[in-house]
Amino acid sequence: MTTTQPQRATETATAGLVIRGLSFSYPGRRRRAARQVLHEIDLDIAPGRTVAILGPNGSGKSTLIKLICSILPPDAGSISVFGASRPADIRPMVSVVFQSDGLDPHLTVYENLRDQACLYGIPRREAQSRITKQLEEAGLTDRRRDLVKTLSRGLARRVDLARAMLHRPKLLLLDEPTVGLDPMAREAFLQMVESEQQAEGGRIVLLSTHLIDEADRCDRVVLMHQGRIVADGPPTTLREELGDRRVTVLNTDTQSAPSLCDLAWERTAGGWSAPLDHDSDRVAAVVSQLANSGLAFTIAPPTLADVFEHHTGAQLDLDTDVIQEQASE
Amino acid sequence: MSTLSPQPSFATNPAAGVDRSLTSPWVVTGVIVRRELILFVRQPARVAAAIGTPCLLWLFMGSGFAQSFRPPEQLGDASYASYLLPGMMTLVAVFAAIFSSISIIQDRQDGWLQSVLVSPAPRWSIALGKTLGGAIVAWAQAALLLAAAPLLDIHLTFWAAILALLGVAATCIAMTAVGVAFAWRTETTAAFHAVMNLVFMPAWLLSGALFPPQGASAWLGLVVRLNPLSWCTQAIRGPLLGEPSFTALAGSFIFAGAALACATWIVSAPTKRST
Repeated sequence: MTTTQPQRATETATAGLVIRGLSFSYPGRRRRAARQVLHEIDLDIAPGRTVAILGPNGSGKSTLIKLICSILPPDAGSISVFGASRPADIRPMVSVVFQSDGLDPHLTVYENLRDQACLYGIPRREAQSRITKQLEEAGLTDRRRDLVKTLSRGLARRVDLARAMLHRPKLLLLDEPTVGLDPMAREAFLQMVESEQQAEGGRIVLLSTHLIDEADRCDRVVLMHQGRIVADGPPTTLREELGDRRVTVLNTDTQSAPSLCDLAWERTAGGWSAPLDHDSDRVAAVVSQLANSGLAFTIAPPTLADVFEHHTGAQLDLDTDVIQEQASE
Repeated sequence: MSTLSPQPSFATNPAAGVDRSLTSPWVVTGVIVRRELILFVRQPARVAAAIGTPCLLWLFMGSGFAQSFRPPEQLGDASYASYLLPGMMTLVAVFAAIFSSISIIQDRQDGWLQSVLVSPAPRWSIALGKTLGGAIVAWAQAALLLAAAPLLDIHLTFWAAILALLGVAATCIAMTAVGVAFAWRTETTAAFHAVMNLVFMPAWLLSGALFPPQGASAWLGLVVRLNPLSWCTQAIRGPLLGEPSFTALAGSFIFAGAALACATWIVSAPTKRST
């Protein structure tokens, strides 16, 4: 585990998303103290970028999204979206796809999209044209008259994305949108996001996720842990910091791994981890030593989970119990 | 999502986005009202529950138990069933307000409410839409009961009907607005049922809907007179029994306006609680 200062991407957010010193705490209940969920977040995202916020449950991702879309008021700090800082000015430029569908299950697909167009003041004729286009892109033209409650989860998610895209937002916030989807539906949803982003390049897409493969598809990854940004950069750059390959010794409480091989070992939640260079003799020696000791180990290119573990000492796939977001409860 | 080299078109073309001025709060209110009406039509159980319960109560109490009650002399020749009819219309308004308010909690759980809250629509327009939508649904149900008036030898003139329907409108707006205000801060339907039992039903029971307040003890009579729902009940009952009370009607609309203002304030108030 390292770092007191998070690594920062050197990206200039010219009139994109600019967050400065953002802090937030949920009020305490029944004599419990308020719980701080975000600690002085600074984040710049330039127009056209697709950025993932990666972190375990409870790391503050959803709260950050809710602050950006101004559902929640910050305790301190500022948010600027394409130059606008007042919630009333930010909202027309933002769209959000939450974990749960932002759709009325008792209305038809078309009625949901029509109402969305009204909420954003899209003129009727223009709205009809956009609804038709969005439904075509989502492959849902033949389901437009179906009640949303009759759709599968995957189809409902695509309708929700179509709803969110209807007013052509400059900032699209996706809050763990693929939770509960099977792999095929998840892939279909992500491809729909990609194709929407290709069609309109100036849009910022901010995806909160705890899934590594989703984060890996983005231009940039912001790692969050306990309400703080611990690392920030393109996924390849973040991984390269840990070397080309990494040896991980699993689940051992002993000092055996460091004592066996002379590597730059780091203690992780799952055991020990160290970077490994290309020297084939060196690799062979390490493999031999570890295999002879009977320890379970892996050698593989580093993943974003390794990066997270490197920066926090915690595992990405475990919930952060320290901070519970009231939002998701 | 990766490896794109997009042109920052939004940065160079700000007009590509949405102009806030295009979002009309009144259109938003209309959209939410329309949604409430559609949902009502598509949920026949709500119609059955809202109309069936007061009708049954009216039949049992107005007819079956009529001999068990001894109305005070102030009622004159009016039967207990005719006395009870406006009270049942008030009850329809209360039930409809409850159903409409509970839908806010469901909207929040479904996620629909969040998608509305992140839109440019001002929150007062959302509160107004939920209240007016629920009130229209309630008004239509309560007005249906007016059809029973001829069966009770109530000689209803055109203006008496208009005044009674205005009283019903004020009652529906007031009760739905109170429901919206409570439901906005209530997280579960179970908690809302507690609110219903503590607030709505006592208010109705103490509105003179079931029992004439003239026979009540002094302190209870005072409670009934101070209960705003009593003004609503009286605003409906007066025209039906040939004694329209403009004071009660004005009081009902003041109550409705105050409740609507309260609901709008609660919905618009910033909160750190997650919606």
